[in-house]
Amino acid sequence: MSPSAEPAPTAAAVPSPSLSVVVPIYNERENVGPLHESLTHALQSFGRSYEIVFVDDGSKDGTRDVMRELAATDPHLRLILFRRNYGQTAAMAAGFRTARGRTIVSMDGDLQNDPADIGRLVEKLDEGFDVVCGWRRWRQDRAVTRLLPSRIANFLISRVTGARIHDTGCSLKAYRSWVVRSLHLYSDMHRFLAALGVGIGARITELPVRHHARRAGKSKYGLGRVFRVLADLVGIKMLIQFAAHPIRWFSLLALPLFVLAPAMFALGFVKVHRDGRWTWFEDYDMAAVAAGSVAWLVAMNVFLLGFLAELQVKVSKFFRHRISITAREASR
Amino acid sequence: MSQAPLVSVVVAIASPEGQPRVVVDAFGKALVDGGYRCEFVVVLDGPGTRFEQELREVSARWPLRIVRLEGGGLGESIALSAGVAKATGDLVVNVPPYVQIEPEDVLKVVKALEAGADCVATWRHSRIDPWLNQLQSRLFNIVLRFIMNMPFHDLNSGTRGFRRQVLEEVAVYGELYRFLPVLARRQGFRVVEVRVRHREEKGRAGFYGIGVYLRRLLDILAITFLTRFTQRPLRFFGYLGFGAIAIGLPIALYYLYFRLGEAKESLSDKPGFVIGAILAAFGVQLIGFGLVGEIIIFTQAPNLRDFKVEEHIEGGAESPDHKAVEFVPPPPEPALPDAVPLPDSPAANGVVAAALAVVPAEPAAPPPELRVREILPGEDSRWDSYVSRHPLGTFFHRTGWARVVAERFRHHPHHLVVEEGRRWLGVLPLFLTKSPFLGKNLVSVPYSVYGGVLADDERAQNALLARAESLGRELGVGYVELRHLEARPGERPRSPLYVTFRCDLPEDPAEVMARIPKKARAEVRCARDPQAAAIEGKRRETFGIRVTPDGSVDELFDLFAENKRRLGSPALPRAWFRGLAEEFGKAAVIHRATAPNGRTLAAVMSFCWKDTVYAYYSGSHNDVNVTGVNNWIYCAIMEWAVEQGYRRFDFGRSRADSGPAKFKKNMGFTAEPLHYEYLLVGPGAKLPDFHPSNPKLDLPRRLWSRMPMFLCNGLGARLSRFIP
Repeated sequence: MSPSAEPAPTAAAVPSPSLSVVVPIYNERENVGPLHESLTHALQSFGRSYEIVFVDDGSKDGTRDVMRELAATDPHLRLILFRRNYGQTAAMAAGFRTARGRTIVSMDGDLQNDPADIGRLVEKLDEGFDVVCGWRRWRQDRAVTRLLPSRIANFLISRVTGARIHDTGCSLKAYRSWVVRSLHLYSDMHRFLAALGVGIGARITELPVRHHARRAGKSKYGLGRVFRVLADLVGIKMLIQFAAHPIRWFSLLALPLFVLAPAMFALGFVKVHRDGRWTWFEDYDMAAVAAGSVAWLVAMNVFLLGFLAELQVKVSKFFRHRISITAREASR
Repeated sequence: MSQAPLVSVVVAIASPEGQPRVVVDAFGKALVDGGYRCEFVVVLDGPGTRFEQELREVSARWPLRIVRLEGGGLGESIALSAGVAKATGDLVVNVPPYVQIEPEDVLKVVKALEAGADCVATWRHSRIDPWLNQLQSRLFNIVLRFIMNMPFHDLNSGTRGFRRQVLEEVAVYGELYRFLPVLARRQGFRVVEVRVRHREEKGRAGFYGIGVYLRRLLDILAITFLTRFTQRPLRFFGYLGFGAIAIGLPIALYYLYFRLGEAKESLSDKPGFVIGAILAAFGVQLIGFGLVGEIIIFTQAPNLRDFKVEEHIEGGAESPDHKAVEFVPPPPEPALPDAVPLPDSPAANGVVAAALAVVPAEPAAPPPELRVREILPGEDSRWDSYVSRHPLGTFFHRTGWARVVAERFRHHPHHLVVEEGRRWLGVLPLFLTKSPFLGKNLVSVPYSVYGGVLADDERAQNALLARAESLGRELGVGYVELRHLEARPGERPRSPLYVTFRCDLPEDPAEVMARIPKKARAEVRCARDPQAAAIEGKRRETFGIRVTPDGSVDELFDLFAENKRRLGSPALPRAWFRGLAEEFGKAAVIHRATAPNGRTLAAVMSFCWKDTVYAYYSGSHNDVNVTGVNNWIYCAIMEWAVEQGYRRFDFGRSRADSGPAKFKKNMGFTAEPLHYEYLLVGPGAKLPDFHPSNPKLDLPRRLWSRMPMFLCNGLGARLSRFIP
């Protein structure tokens, strides 16, 4: 428990801390000082060697000056500064790339997560999980604008992706480093990190964490995000289940059309008379024949697109790269 | 001079009319006079040979590089990129191959870059070119400002400044170089505009033609699309695809229904069917395209240049000898029942002070100002250890209580702490509660019987109270309620409504019963002892009730809610009790009393903290009072507390002269007045009179007690949020 049990930490003496905390920060001038203080307090009393990685996502309100001042005195603090705003996912990806710990914790920079929960998450991770997601069980947000869309999104994400997590939007998560290193984050993917983790065989669980109401600064999310999350879901589902063999997913997409096409042809070529007799190729319903042809054409198209996707996966080094990373991290 | 920043000037020459020599001389002089180092990159795109001789001559005077684009005629965007690739400076200024602006004004551009801008657009202010050109240019910029919502006045100006990183990230091609400031701004770079004096203009005079403008607008649309959707192709194709399906499928199904139904209408004269079917099929295909795009992006993600780190700082690097701020973890809480806590361990504070003295240059001789602030996430353990060290600290001051209040009732906490330097001198837990009955108030602490200020001295206390008052004013509250158990220094309006009951526990469990007055003791004996001598009005079959500390939250809640309905007041929600049980674990004990026939008659939730057991929430069936179980369960809890090693028993507050107060007195307790104090903040604020003994509440209470249980519980859970 006591920090005196460890040798005095200096930048050189801590080549590879056991715990890295990655915090993307955007325009949080008032919060960054208190955040650093409470993080330091929580991590020192947790008692493992640690580093804090603050990623400034192009703040324009002087946040980075505060961060520089903090970094001048704290050898545990590492800063990554972006010149412009790339978005939260990029900031997180940069932080993950820089982090050296075997355990990586991500959290929000707006003090809504409680640093005191980090210890609990990491202990849970030690029980044999690869990802532990925070669950803001008692959220302190406005009901309609944030809570409801988030409920809907979470329900859908957990249903569709199979990662049974209540709160995918919570940034407070703990990972084993191999998980984040084998996933390349881009464009809002951080929300699906848990789901993607399931896709690469990580063991995932969740833990209720505390959630504080915002102290300062402005919230950066809105209602419109839900629709984007919905559009992303289809792609994520494919990436989780079929990334290695996308043609299966495309076949699934084409299947209804493959079924529909013969049905339409039957409708077009077969005539059922009033007395129950039926005849072929006598009276045609050309519209049905046209619809059947279109369905057939598109079904073939989609199926062949699957081939293209398959080709792309085969050509890219993506999976080989992932396998090598997983192997390397496991042997660390 | 070597310290001066290096400015790279890039000049692209595409036509034989350029005057590179004049440009280089003019800008070189201006920059050097302004205190900068400069270098020039001249890109020859096209009929360049004519200038080579001239440029070689200039390169004797100025550092100059010549880039010759093979073939030529590749356009200004490519010329610019090639030039920047050869430039060595971080700050780049792009000028046309003639002296378009007053050379001194280039310093404005460079200064703006140095001041933190990433890209600088120029605005030729008093223009000197023909009025027709001016008019067209102005119209174009007005339209662009309107469509794109961009604050630029003169995008056609050939002089621009930018940092190298901008061109590395913003892809420019075709005629897009013109829109560099717009694109840079869209991608989140800092872009400013500076005014420059116009000196000379080359280029075509007269009407440019509608095609030129149309092309430029199409350019901007293309770049908008690409920057927005290349990262997530499925978003774009998915929207379109699902939209097409959503429109086409119902139309097709509608006609199909009539074809297959009774009417057997042929589809052939229904063009709507074919259109609907094609639309739906098209939608599926679009989604397919989106998915292919997604696969490509996903597999290529490692190759995407998705962000660029500007600076990487390792903490503590600036002063390696500098000792870091070492946080001293709070001293462990004193072991539960033993050791009466000290006011504020001077040893612990000494450690903090010593550790901190290393950090500031001067260890601050005069006593630092008291600073009052709200606590931060992560300081909970520090808060709790302060509360547990403070002699007046109670269970309800702890952050655990606050957490459950914030989580289950969604009241907003404003916990204040006063510190001197880094040393804490006092704490005040506060919650903002809003209620249609009581208005908006700050309460310390809601749903508890004790709360209020804990401070080392009066100065710290007053600082906290002053801040609470100003916070109340900021938040527009009526009053600040401080549920003090003991009196605190100073005069404040006080409510005499409540008293509390406490006692020290004996050493021996057997003594607990001996201390209970005779009449109550007889009740206890009847209830506990199956062999007790019968007394008047008692039935033998209820003798021998067992009390065990293993009650469940649900049992307690049901009994509690039943009691509350009888009294005509809304009960706290079940979730509240669950929350307390989860938060405090073994420190929240539920005792239950079971009759010989196995029926649970009564239950009490008590909190154990330090040396005290707080019997807090209780409930019993309406018909069991006669058995004496109420006396017996508290007696049993006290005996249990003694066995567990606790020293004090807290029977909780009651309204003076109410039934419960009489009951507690009968058990041998004496009433202690509570010092509930108020800071009246809002205009016309007065002490709250919303409590059960208010005659105005008589009717609602009687109605409440006649409502069905499920309604009471459902409504009560909502209402209790408003009665903190």
